[in-house]
Amino acid sequence: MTEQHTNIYNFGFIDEDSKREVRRQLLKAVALPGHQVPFASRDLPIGRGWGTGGLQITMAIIAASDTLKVIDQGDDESVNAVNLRRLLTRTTGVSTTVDTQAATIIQTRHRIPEEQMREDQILVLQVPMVDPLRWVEPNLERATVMHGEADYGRMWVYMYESVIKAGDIRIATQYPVIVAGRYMMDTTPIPRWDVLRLHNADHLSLFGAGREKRVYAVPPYTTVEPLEFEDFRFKTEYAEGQRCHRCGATNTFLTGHFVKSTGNDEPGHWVTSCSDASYCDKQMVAQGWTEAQE
Amino acid sequence: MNTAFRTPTAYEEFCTTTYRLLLDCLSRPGTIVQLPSVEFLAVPTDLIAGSTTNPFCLAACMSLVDQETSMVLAAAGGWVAEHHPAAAWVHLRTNARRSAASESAFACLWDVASLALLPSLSHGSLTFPERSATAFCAVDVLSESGTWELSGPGIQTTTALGISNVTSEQMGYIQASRSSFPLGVDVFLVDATGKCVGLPRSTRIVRSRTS
Repeated sequence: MTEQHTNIYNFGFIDEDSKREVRRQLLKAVALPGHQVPFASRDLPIGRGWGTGGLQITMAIIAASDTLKVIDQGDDESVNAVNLRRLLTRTTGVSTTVDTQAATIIQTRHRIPEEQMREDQILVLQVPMVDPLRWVEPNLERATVMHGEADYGRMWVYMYESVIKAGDIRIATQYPVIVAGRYMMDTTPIPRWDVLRLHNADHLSLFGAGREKRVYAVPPYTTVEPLEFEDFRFKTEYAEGQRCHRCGATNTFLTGHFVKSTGNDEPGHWVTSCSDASYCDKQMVAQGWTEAQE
Repeated sequence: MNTAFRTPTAYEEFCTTTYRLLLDCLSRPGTIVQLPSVEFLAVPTDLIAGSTTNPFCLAACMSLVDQETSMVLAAAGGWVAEHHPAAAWVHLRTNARRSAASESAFACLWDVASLALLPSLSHGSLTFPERSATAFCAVDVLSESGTWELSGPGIQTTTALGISNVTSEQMGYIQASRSSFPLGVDVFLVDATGKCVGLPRSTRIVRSRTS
């Protein structure tokens, strides 16, 4: 980079007026927990649909003193996380971390870190689809009116039909919840394991959808109730006896991957490990592991 | 790593610092935060004759507005006229439009007597509850104990709030601004030393039983 190009961008990339617009809408989002607030969604050097909503929230709130963590499905080293982190650090100079405990702002795609977040931390989630009513009402204007009237009957019918057809509630991710007893909200593709961790959390969660131009929020200590029936309860992915093959954790969200046959009598097989990679590493270090061993 | 950004100006830094504090106290109603120094703005104390200007309150409100939005001022229970020198002073520094109170996105109230004007601010609609006003009101002294009990999102159980110079009638205007959630007005109270508390429309306010 040549000398004259070292200061061509505004701090946090987007200009101050754009930041203020996001900031104003976020205040409305906090005052209306779970309600989708429209925002302008500026063009960024990253395509809409690749985390630009979360990115604009982070750009609007970040200060030079922040410590940033960016994850993609629990992993700090995934391609989406690496690219968003690079844009943010090049345009703000903030320090970054992989340690959940050390971060002040955590931007995430589809996961909430395993370690419990504190009051002074902010979680920024990237949202692909903002409206849980889209499954039952694809027309945005009509869905907005339904939210305004808290008219969620058709969603309950959808849930009921899911039980009738499949024998249980068939929603894998983007599990719909009711926030603070009023608005129905899409929880983004976080696993069901994470949904209850939004309920009465210590931290503030901010949601941004760049392509759909909406932000919404769950303040701390706010009820987040997944839709469920008395006889068909909300269930997480947790399976009795589950275990991470690396760190041995039994109380985390796991992802599976296939290990190829090594050629000697051992056949290929599936293993599961913590989706939150830095948490897994932390557990391993506590057990005396060093990176060179793997 | 190579970086490519210019250092924020003092005002930009002030806006960011202030915003994080406003976001924090709106997320945790009843939590009192200390707003940063506003000396660099050199707010004249006699912007509105007969009313003392709280520079922290005015600067916090100004940090959120620009040419895309509108802001209205009030003192001693009445709106300040569009061409009043105080409105011109704010406009010169923010570019915020001066519009009728019912259409303004932000209101800066110089004193608690002006809380009586809250009902004339926009409360939004059921379809678009976010199209409602945010009010900043200057008060004398805020404390985390006192007459008022808050509950709602952002509060674990309940929390106490003391406001030294507000009457029950004036508080009634804030209480009324959240009687038809999700419609309403979000309120920030800022005291003379720059202590600030956020009262989003989701916060229920009652007189506490112990006092």
